[in-house]
Amino acid sequence: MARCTTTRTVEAVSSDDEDGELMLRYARGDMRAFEILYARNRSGLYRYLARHTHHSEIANDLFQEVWSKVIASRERYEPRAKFRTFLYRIAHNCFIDHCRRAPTRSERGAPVESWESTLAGPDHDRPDLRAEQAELTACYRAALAALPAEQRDVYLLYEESGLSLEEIATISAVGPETAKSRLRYAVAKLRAALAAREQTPRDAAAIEEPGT
Amino acid sequence: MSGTGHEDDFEAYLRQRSVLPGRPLSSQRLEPPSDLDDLVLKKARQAIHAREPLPLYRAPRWAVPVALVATVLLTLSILLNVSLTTRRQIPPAVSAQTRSSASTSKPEALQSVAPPSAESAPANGASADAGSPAATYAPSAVTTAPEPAPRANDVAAEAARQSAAAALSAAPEASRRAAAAAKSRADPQTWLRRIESLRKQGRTAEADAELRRFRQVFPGYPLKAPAADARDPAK
Repeated sequence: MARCTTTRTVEAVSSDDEDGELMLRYARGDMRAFEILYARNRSGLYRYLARHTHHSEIANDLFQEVWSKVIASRERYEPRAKFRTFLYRIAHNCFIDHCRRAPTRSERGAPVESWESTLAGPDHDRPDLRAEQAELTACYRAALAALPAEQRDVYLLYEESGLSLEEIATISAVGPETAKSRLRYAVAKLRAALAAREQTPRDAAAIEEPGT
Repeated sequence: MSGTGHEDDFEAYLRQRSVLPGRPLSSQRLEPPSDLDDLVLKKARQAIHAREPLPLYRAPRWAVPVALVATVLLTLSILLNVSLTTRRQIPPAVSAQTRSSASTSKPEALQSVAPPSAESAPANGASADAGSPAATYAPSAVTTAPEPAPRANDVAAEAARQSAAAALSAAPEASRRAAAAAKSRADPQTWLRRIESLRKQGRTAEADAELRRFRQVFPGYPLKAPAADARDPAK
C-alpha cells in the first residue's frame, strides 16, 4: 500500500522532460533514477496493455517485455522526443508483435474483467454500488473490445499515456488527422454503448410498470 | 444529436481524457502486481551492475606523452652514441692510409723491409701528428707484414704510446725526437729504416739497441742481410 501511495504521489508530479532526464541518469548508472521513472510510468503502461489484451498474464508478459527493452536500450537512448513517446512506441510494437506471433495466446490466463472485480474499490462496503460498478465496467469493456483495433489503440494511448494526438500519430505511424478521426470514432462508439446501457434499465422499468 | 453536439462532446473528451467524467472505472485502478515490479527493478539493477566494467588498470593521462618523449630521447641518445663510437673507431685518416698502403704494397715489399713508398711516408707522418700513432700505424703493420701476429701490433702500439707519452713529458726538442722515434717504432719498416739511418750516421750502439728492441717487439719479422748482420754485434 505504501508503494501505491508513493507511486501516485510521484505520478502527480510527473513531467516528460524529467522522464527523459531520468532515463539519461539511469543510462549513466543511477538506479534511483530508474526507480522514479518506473514509478511514474508503470500504472499507465500496465493499464494500456491490460485493456488491450484483456488477460492479466499476457499483460504481465508484455509489461515485462516492454521494460526489458527500455532497460536494454538505455545506452542508445537519445532524448529527441518525450520519454513517454519512446515508452509507448515500444509497448505498441510489443502488442502488435504479440498479436502477430501468437494469436492463440489470447486464451491464456484470467480475463482482466474477472480479475478487476477482485480489486477492492472505495465502495466495497456498498454491494449495490459495487454491482453497478461491475456492470458499468463490463459494458465499457465490451464496447472497448468491439472497437476496431486501430481505434482502440489510439483511444487507449490517449487515455493512458497522456500523450498528445500528434505524438500518438507518430507512435501509430499515421497522420495527426487520421489519429484524431480514429479517436473521435472510438469515443463516439463508447459513449453510445454506455448511453445504451443507461437507457436499457429505464426502458425495462417502463415496460414492467404497465404490467404491474 | 447534431454534428455540432458531437464535436462539443469530443472537445470535452479531449480535455477530460475520460469517457465517464464521473466516478472512475475499476479498470482505472489497475496496477501491476508487486512481484512484477520487483522483477523489473531487479532486472534494471542487474543491467546496471553488469554494465560496470572490470577494474582494469588505466594509465594516467600524462603517461602517453611522457612515454613518447622518453622513447624519442632514448632513440636519439642511442643514435648519437652509435655515430660517435663509429667515428672514433674508423677515423677518415686511417681509412685513407689503409687504402694507400693496400695500393702501394707489393709482393716483394711484403717479404723485405724495403722503405715504404714516398706517398705512404708523409701520410704516416701526418697521421702521427694527428695524435694517435698507435691506432694509425697498427693497421699498416697488419697489411704490409703478414708474419707478425696481431699481438705484436698491440705491443708495438703500446710501446709507441708509452714513448709518445715520455716524449711529451721531455723538452720540446727532445720530445719531438722521441715522438719521431716512437712513430717509427710503430711501423716495422719505418723502424728498420731508422735503424739503417742510425747505422749510416755511425751511431752503431744506438742502432744495435734499436735492433734489439725491434726483435723484442717483432720477433719473427724477416730482416735483410745488413740488418741481419747487425743483429749480432759480435759478428
